[in-house]
Amino acid sequence: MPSTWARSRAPAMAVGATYFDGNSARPHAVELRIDGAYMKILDQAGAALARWPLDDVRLVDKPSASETPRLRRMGGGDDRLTLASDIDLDWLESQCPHLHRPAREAGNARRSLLLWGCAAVASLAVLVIVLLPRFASNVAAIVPEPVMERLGTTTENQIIDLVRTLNGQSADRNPRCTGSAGSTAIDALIDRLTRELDRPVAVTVTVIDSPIVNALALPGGRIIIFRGMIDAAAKQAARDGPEVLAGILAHEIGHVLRRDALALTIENAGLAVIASLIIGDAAGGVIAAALGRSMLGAAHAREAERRADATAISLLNRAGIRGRPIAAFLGQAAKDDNWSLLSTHPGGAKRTAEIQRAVTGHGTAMSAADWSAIRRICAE
Amino acid sequence: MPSPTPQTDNRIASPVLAFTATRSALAVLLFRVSVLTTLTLGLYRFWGRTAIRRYLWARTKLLGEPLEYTGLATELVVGFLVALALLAPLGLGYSVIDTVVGPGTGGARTTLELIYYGVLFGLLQVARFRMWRYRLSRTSWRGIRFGLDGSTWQYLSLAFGWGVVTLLTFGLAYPWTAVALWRYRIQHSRLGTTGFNFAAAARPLVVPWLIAFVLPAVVLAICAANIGDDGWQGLAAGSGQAIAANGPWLLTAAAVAPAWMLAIGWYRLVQGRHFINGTSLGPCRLNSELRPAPLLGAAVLAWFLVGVVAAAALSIVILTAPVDATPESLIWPGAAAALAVLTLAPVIFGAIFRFALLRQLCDTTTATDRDALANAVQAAREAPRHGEGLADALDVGAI
Repeated sequence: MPSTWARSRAPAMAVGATYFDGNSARPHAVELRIDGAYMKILDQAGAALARWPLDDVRLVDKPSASETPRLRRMGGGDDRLTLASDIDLDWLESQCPHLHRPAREAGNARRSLLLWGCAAVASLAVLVIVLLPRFASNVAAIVPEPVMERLGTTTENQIIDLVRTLNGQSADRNPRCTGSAGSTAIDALIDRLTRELDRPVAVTVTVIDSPIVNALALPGGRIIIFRGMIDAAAKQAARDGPEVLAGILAHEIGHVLRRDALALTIENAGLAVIASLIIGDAAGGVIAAALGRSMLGAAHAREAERRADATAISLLNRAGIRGRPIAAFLGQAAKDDNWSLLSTHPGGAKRTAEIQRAVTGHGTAMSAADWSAIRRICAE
Repeated sequence: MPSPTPQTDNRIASPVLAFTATRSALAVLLFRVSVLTTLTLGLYRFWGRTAIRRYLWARTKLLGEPLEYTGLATELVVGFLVALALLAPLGLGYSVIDTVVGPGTGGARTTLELIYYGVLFGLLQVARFRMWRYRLSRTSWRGIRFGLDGSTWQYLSLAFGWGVVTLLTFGLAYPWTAVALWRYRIQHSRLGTTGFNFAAAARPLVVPWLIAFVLPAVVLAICAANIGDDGWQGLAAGSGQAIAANGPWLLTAAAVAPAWMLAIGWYRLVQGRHFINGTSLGPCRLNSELRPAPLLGAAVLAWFLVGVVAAAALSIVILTAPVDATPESLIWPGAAAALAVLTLAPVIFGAIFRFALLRQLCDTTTATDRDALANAVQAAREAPRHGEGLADALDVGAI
């Protein structure tokens, strides 16, 4: 072995240093002597204070140019050697072959860390992907009806406030649309869609005067549909407007039946907690956490949308209302939307095809008179 | 051969600490750690923090001999997993109850928030104490390990008691709170078997605290009161008339807010100096001549540079955007720019402010009877096996 050869040929060189024995902070001026496979630490009287195997000698830190190198022994031991700053590091390296290795064997610790790290990742994945959605929907399911209604009312009022701000209206204006003939027609449609359900469900639909093209299911059986949605149904689907509206309402009833609004809120809050804990106070952690949460939250929301679609199909089929118009409408809407990772709605073409395959109804949703009453619901 | 420290007159305070880090080397290290931490979504932070501490400790010299940081990143990871196990159910439970209780101001909500923030406050104190204990147990000098005795529960009850007092006196009792908590921590700290002692009184801090905390608060309250309910409603609606009418008050408030931050920073430096002056290690009494002004200057410079970097990142996003850019198409470049700024901010702050702080702390601290430090003897006590998880998760630790 070359290093052994070098060692045996090395001159019996004496090097000055300061030794701390690990028991007291008192410095000992010492001399180092290489003796076979050992480094002997000798005090001024020539007595050996310690004898370190050369294979075990380690640098405490990688010394920069101006720092004095410090040595320790591999493994335990609190004793330290501070060398003179003019020490010949090359000579030291030639004597101590593992000088730059870590001072502690990390093997076992590293293996257990790897094991625990994998276990933590796996349990987090199960927690976030499987348990959290179930947990959220179970919690949502046991919340009593009065609480759901209060939550629904509060949320609806918040949405109304938001719409007022967007419309630039003052606080005394009420953007709820109250056309009586239109309301009656919507109630009749809801009744027709929910009549066949095994478990009766109370659904209240509020139409809000805003150009937003959207509909929402809130806790407590509240459905909000913006006038923009009705306009879009009328414009894009021409003759099939009523059936598109029926499809939209059936989809939102699907959310109501599963209490998706509350479940998703709980889930999102849970995801926020978990994401911020994992990422901690790392730079940009807030952004990374928010992005990660939106992606996971959106994935879960897409799952909820798929289930609501399935409910919508079965409601439309039972009521005998044509389902192809809503499939076409959704396909059109999805084309304007290309945020696939962050989108809360399932992919357009696939969704359209799935709905089209499953729908069986051939009837209309309402009379032409009812439809025109709904279209004028915000005009009264 | 480094000669042992020359003998000095024990009654005269003489320098004990030297900080030999260089700004450029620290900046390079901070940059590497910050970039890797961002790229690994924060996972590298345990290794990064360990590397930074090793660097800083090794360049902080007590009587010519460096401190040594002996902590391992894996200990921080395990501590983090423990904290995760504690905090995840707490946060999850709160978010569920919070959603179900819903918005409003009822008694249920008040109770819920009191409990939640009470528990969080308690955990924060536990985190502080354990962080202090972990760091001391992983710091050694001349082979002798530091340590922290005392009980987490005692500290927690102390912190709760003084927390309530501070709250009830609207913050006026803060100097006494700080003295009580620091006294507990310092008195229970030791180097080997040599104990630290803490003898600082709260009274010299009262005037600085009144200047730093109470005065700006009063000014802000006067501004808010003069703007009045009608004024606030007008401002919320964005009425130009309301802005014009309340202009002087708004300007005063806008000037007080950053001045307040600086004043709090100034107070903390004054308090730190006072506490160092009250601290002794065995017979060796510390003395600090820390000057707050240059450090506040360094802090302002650091914030200014962070602002410059942020402005530069924002201009790059705007200037490189295509003409037909929509707000949605700017989300990803915007997020990338924000990430870059947030990655650079700790580098700038660390290399400018923290570096200046550590150097000043070391340069301005002297001690009497410093040679008595050599009498420290190793203590045979068990050190904590993993560390700081709570402090990491609750964002307590600075370095």
